[in-house]
Amino acid sequence: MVGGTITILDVFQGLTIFLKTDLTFSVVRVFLIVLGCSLVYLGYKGKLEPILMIPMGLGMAFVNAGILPMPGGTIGNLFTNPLAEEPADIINALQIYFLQPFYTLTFANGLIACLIFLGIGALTDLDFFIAKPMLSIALAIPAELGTMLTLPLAIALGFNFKEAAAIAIIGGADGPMVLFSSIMLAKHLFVVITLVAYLYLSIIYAIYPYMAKLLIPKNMRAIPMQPSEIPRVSSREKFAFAIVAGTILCLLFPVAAPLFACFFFGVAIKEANIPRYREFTDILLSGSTMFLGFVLGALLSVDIVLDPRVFLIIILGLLALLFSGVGGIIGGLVAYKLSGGKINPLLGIAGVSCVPTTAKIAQKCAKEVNPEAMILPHAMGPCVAGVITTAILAAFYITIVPLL
Amino acid sequence: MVNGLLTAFKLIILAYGVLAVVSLIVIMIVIILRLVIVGRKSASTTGEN
Repeated sequence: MVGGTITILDVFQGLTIFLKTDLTFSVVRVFLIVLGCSLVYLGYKGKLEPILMIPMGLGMAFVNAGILPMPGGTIGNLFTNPLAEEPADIINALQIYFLQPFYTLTFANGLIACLIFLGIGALTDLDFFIAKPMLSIALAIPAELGTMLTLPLAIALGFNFKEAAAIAIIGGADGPMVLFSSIMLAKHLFVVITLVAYLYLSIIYAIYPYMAKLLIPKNMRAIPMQPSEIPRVSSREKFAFAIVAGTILCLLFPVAAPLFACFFFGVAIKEANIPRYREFTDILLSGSTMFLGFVLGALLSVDIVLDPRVFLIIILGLLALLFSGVGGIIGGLVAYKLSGGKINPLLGIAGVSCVPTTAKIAQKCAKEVNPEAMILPHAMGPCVAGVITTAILAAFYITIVPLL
Repeated sequence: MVNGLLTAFKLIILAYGVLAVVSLIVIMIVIILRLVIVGRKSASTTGEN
């Protein structure tokens, strides 16, 4: 350009690319930028989960705005290159894309999911689960309905078994689990599957209360369950459970051992009550969630959205979570009947594992009809059991499906 | 596709079976640990008394 004419389009390369690319590409780019900004706004206003939606929306908006000409006449961005798989390509990518170290070292091997699981473990209250393991698990199993039914649905829509299993795990309503399973089973779809899962997990806070109101009569939602009814569980019991259950589950499902190990490690840190470790797990969870959101958002570029199967994954993801919610409520209603009306059926919806969101939803719905109802400590039991049952199913799919 | 669906349904049945067995193992772990730890605790309390 030395000695030549520099036009305004040479200065603002992004505008040049925007004008030169075909219309569909540009329209989808604008859509993704607007979607990203909307997620940031909804997160900021508290309508969606801000800790995830703000970084994810920003990543989505920035990556789709920052498209530039790349060597070889192609276009791309300077955020990440998820297609780099060969060692030489990865080394190159690490020097070009600023988020590549996060992607290569924490996403491609599932580490980010495990770190989040460690943080969740350190926040999880096992009291009700240990006090009433049978009831907790009995409520969590029906809430896996979406994880089960979505599998044949996805196959009917043309996905192969690995892809269908990865999509079905959305029904478990556990973000890190979806990320881990999709990386293991369908790496080419993991961005879309994980994004859809996290988006829906933010939205279920709005959807599940309506579902509960629709399917559970008001008088049943008002059943009070006193926290004092929960038998006392010592820290020693919870610590011992974390060690024994973690070891046995790792032994049974070595393919999901990283998830089990991190979750129960987190629980052990909480119960061992080592203040420095607990502070660190808090920071680790916040940092991992922030980067998970930002990198996931930055991975959602135009070419991914233009895949026609994305629309199907959006539908299947929603169905998976709806099925799980309905299954959980059915489980809650059965528990209500069998207990002679002592168990609030809202505990069933807490069986959809999303810790602690679904337990909070159960509490919120109960409090709306009975301000004195305090079912949260009870709801944490099926919620924790849901994490364990989803992890078992994820491990089962990861182990069995590749053999088909 | 029919074969695929049949396999998927078989997989679901197997998944429920595995889930039930492993859940039972987890419940047994909780019960055994509670018996051991609470049992030891009450034994030591009785001893002190």
